[in-house]
Parts: sequence; structure tokens; C-alpha cells
Amino acid sequence: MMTDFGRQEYARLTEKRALFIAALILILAALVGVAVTLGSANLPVADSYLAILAGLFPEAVDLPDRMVESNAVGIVWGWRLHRVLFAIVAGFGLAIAGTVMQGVLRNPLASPFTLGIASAASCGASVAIILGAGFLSGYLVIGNAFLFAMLAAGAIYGMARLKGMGSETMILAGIALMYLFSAVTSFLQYLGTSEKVQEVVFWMFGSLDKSSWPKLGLVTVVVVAVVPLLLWRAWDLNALAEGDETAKSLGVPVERSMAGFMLAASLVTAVIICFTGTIGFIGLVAPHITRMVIGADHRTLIPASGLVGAVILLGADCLARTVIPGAIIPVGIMTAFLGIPFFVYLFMRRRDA
Amino acid sequence: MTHKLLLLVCCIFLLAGTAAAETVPCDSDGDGTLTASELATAILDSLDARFMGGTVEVPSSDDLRDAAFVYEHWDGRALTITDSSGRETTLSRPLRKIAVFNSDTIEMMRSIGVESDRVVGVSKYTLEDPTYFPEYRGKANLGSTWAPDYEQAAAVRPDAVFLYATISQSSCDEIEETLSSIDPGIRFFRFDSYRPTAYADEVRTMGALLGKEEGAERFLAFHGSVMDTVAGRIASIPADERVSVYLENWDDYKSAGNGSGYDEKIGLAGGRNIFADTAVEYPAVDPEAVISRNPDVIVKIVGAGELVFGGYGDDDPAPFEEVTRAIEDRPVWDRIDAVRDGRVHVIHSDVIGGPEYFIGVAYMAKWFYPDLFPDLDPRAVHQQYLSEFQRLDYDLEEHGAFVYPV
Repeated sequence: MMTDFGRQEYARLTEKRALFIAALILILAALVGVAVTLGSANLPVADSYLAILAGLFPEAVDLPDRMVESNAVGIVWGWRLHRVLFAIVAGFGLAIAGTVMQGVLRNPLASPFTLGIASAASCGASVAIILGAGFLSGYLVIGNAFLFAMLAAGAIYGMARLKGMGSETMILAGIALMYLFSAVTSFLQYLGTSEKVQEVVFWMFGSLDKSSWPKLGLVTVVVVAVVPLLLWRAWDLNALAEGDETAKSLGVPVERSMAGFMLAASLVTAVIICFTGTIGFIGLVAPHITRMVIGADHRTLIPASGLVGAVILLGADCLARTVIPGAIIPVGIMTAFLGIPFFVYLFMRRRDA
Repeated sequence: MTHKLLLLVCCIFLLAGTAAAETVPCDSDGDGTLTASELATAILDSLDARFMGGTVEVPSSDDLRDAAFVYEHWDGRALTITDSSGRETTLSRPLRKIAVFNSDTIEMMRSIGVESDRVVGVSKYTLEDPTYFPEYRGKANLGSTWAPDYEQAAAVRPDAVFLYATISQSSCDEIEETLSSIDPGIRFFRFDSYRPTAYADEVRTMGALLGKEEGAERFLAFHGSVMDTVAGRIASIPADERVSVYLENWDDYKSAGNGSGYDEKIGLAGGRNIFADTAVEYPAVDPEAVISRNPDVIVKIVGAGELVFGGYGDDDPAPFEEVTRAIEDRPVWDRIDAVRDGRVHVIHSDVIGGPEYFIGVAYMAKWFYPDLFPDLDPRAVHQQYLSEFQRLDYDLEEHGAFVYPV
């Protein structure tokens, strides 16, 4: 039975969570506003916004000549807008995938990286780039990256289900897979010409350069389909976090729901990184940051860390496009530059308290 | 989420309105051919309108200029070009604003006399080499094939974008896809501009595409005279009497295997690559294997990796000599014929890796068979290439370091 004190405490926590989420949404909206005006085409801020309107209501907006001359509508709609939205969806998806993996495996180190999914995707991309072999003609790199990522997830998963593996063993298996796929990638790089190796390296940096409307649509569909499912089962995650026995006694079918969660998280990760290359870091850090602020209740942790991921990725991309004028630093590098110091700061502060 | 779907739908509508098929400007009867009289009428009409107060509807000055080009270079008809990826593109107007992602293509364009003002953007590698590409300083920076700057590329409003044909294919496809979603009017052409087997064809195609047919033929005559001289004289040497060659790039013991560019160039110069049986394109080889295969000549390539020196921006030949000594001093390598006979040669990648490969082939042919080529002067070929075809004020007597021993 809850005491009055507990009730108050819970109400305060709820308020804090609501505030945190509201703040994130505001920051994200502000970032979007800034992001669509950034770029080496040097469009005036007003032109960028007018270009968005012109794309939405071609009839209503009367374009000035200078905007026809600069192709502002083409630049904003053909390039900036889907990139910005892609950053949000990808950041959101990667962060919730990381949250779910950490929750299911009860391990703070679990992420698409540590489970070998990211290096499997890199391996698949390398096969496509260097050997020119793949499964989805016309989309060799994307197809291979996705397939290999799912293969890695499936392998870990198959082992876990067949042998009834615990979470530690699953992580170990993941790390082993990561080394295996990295070795294959290195071998392919040894075989490849310097141009192809460079292409692989750039792929592995992780970047939003490859975004487009159809890709955004696909990723959005997957993320939108998976998130409500995860939220609906968030209680199971809370129970699993307390240990298999606790979860079982609460009526959670442990193995089956672990399987389901891992599959959902892997699918989201794979569908994102096959387009972007490896931006695995967000999946590791966003859940931690969020947990430090609002606690470990997965009902709010999942959407909130998704928002944190979206903010980090979009913020990093804004910086990546502006830090060196005329050059775009791959966003995978930028997220690490931006996220890690913040992460360490949060860590240190918590230790002090 | 409905919001995002809405954006998506809007975008599809936005992209749907691509331009209809174009016709040759000033082709007033619309039969697809601009005749002399059609062009003359257009010119006279516009002169009339400009100076005599004529009232006939006249073509714009851009149309007139384009029509004159089409009449002069393409016999008044739309031109269908097949690029190195096999894609056919039909043009009814000349290309005036070209964005070029491939530095080798810039060099090839310069060889046939394409003016730099027709180029509106170049890769970062072109800009990083102001000694060799002085006239491109200040052009828009498109980034590289692997990390393109799409906004910059779209902002310069190119009518055509030139990309690699066979390397970085997936990146180049990606660039095409993204740029055409920003501006559906852009045409794309693929050229490698560095591969010996395709080079002459690419030069000819580029000449037709940009109206530099004469420049292309003039360059091909020069290029062909070098390549034909070499090919003609080595043809008489039976396969088993050919000089055996160990080629090493800027990384120690990294050689060239079957089908690689360097393997091909050794063959063009009449040499027999001792690692031609290796299926890996650029294998790291065992030093002992080099000793046991005992090459007659060793060719070391510098200018990249840890051996960045020489080339156009560096006049100091000393590091070339150091590299040669280091090779000769490798343990037990004094047993190799090439080392014993003093036939270790160092060459800079600028004159063997890219479009200047024919200069490297001339050097190698002379190294492999000095008796066959007493009259071939690779340095004179190089100087003529720079002065006459690259239009550079660059004196090889005073500047640059490309080979050792000289």
C-alpha cells in the first residue's frame, strides 16, 4: 500500500517526466527550425521557410525570382527537409532500440554495437561494395547491410532460444559475432582497391547524406509500427528488469517476450543503419542519459529516450553541416564528439551527488 | 505522423513536374534539324529586332547562342552521347554549366581545350592542388564522391554533372539520385578518365559532347604517337623474353596483382609483372617471394601514403634517392638482379596513376628496354603534355620531381 509520502513522491516524478518530455519536444522543434535554414547553399533564412511553404502550397505562394534562380524549393525539399526528418526518426529509432536492448538484457553496455548488429551491417555493406555481390539488385549495399544485421540478430536470437541462454551469455555471443564480422570486413578491405576501401570506410562513419523521401517513408513506417507495440508491452520490460524469476512470477512469459523485444529492437536498428551506416552510439547513450534524469520506468523511458536520441542526432547533424564550412562531417563522428562529453559530465555529476 | 505522410505526398507531386523533351533551339519547322537557313533567319530576325525595330518574335540570345553551337558542332541535330557507363543521353543544347566530381576528368577536359569557365564546381581534390589546377581556384567545392556537398552542387545550378564510371559506383549512383531529386533537370555523365583501355574513347566522346572535336583529335594524335611507338616496338619481343618486373606502391611490399591498373600499365610498357598470378588486386607480398622470383627491374611508386613528396608541388629529388637506397638495402635483396644491375626505378604516382599514365608507360618502356627506345624522351613527352595540352607555364627543367634516377 502506498503511503502519502510515496504518492507525493510519485506525483513529483510524474511531473518531472512530463516536464522533461515537454522540454525535449520544444528543443526538438527549435532544432528543426534551425536545421532547415542551415546549409552550404547559403539561402537566406526567410527563403528556406518560404521554400517549405511553397512546396506545401505551390498555388498560394508567389516565389520571388531570386528563389527560382537559386532553386531554393529544390534544395529545401529535395535535400534538407528529408534529412532533418530522417535525423529525427533515426535518432528516435536507434535510441528506443538501445533502451529496449539494455532493458531486456539488464546490461548497461548492450547496444547495437555490442551485440554485433552494427558490425554485421558494415560487413554486409562491404560485401556489396567490394565484391559487388548482394541480394537486392539496385540496392546492393542497403539490402546487404539490412540482411546481415538481421542475420546477426537472428543468430544471437536462435542461440538464446534454442539453448535458453541468459543475458550475459547473449552479450558474450554478440561480442564474439562483432569480432567475427569485423574480421570479415577487414579481410574484404584487404582484398579491395583503395577506392573501394575508402567507400567502405565512409559507409562505416555513418552519415545522413544518403537520406531521401522514400527511405524516410520506409524507416518511419517501421518505427511507427514498432513503438506502440513496445509501449504496450513496457510493463513487461519493467518486470524483466527485476530479473527473470520476478518477471515469471508476475506472469511475463520471459523467453517469448525477450525474443519479441530483441526482434523489434533489431528490426528498427537494421532498417535505420542500413541507410545511414553505423551510428550505433546513440543507442548506447540516449537511454543512459534519460534514465539518469527520469528513472527507469520503461513506460516513459522509451518515448523520452527516443526524443533524446532525436535531439542528439539532429543537433549533431546541424553541427556536422556547419562546423567546417562547405564540408559535412559524417554525423556518426559528430554524435560521438557531442554525446560523449555530455554523457561523461552526467556521470561525474551523479557520482558527486 | 500524418504530417510526414503529407510532406511525402507533396514532395512526390513536386518531383512529378519534370521537363518535357527538349528540341533544338531555333529549329522553326520542328523537324529536328536546324538548317543553315533556319539559323540565318533567326540571326537576321534578332538583329532586325535589336537594331532596326523589327517586330517579329525572336529567339532569346541564349537560344541563339545555343543554336549556333548545335549548328556548328552537331550538324544542327540533337546529339546522342553514350558515356562510359553505357548510358545514352540526348542533348539539344550545349552544356554550359558543368559540375565535375572527378579531378582526372578535369584534366582530360583541359587536354582537349575545354575552357574553365564552363565548369561551375569541382571536387575538393581539384581545389587542393592549386599548382596543377590554378584556373579552378575559387570554384565551388563539391566535396568528394564519398562525402559530396549536395547543397553546394545544387546551388551552382549545373546543367550537367560528371561522375566516375567504374569506381565508387554506389556512391556515384547515390549522388545522381539525390541531385536529381533536388533538380530534375540535371544531366549526368560518367567518365573514369584514367583507365588506359577506355581513355581514347572517353576523350573522343568528351570532344563531341563539349564541341571540342578538334582539340580531342589533336590530343589523341599526341597520346597515340607515344602509345603506338611503345606498342609497336615491344610487339616483336616474345613473351618469355620480356623483362620481369616487381612493382611496389607507396606501401612497402604492396604490389599489384592480376587485372589491377598497374599490372595493365606494366604490360603496356612491355614488362612481365612477377605477381600477375595473384588474384588480389593489390596484394601484400612476401619479401622472400620477390627474392625467389628475381625480377629484372623494380619499379617503386611514390606520392601517397607515407611517401608524399615529389610531383608538381615539390622540386626536391633527394627523397627519391633515399627510397631507392632503402630498397637496395633490404636484407638479401642484393641477390635480386634488378638491385645488382642498378635497375631500381622510382616514379611519382602523378605520372602513372591518373590520366598521365602514358607518360609513366613511356618511362617504364625506356627503363625496361633502353636499347629499343634510344630516341624516346619521356621527359620531353611530359613537357609537351604540360605546355601544349595542359596549357601550364611549368618547366620540368626547373620544377617538379617525378622519377629517379633521372
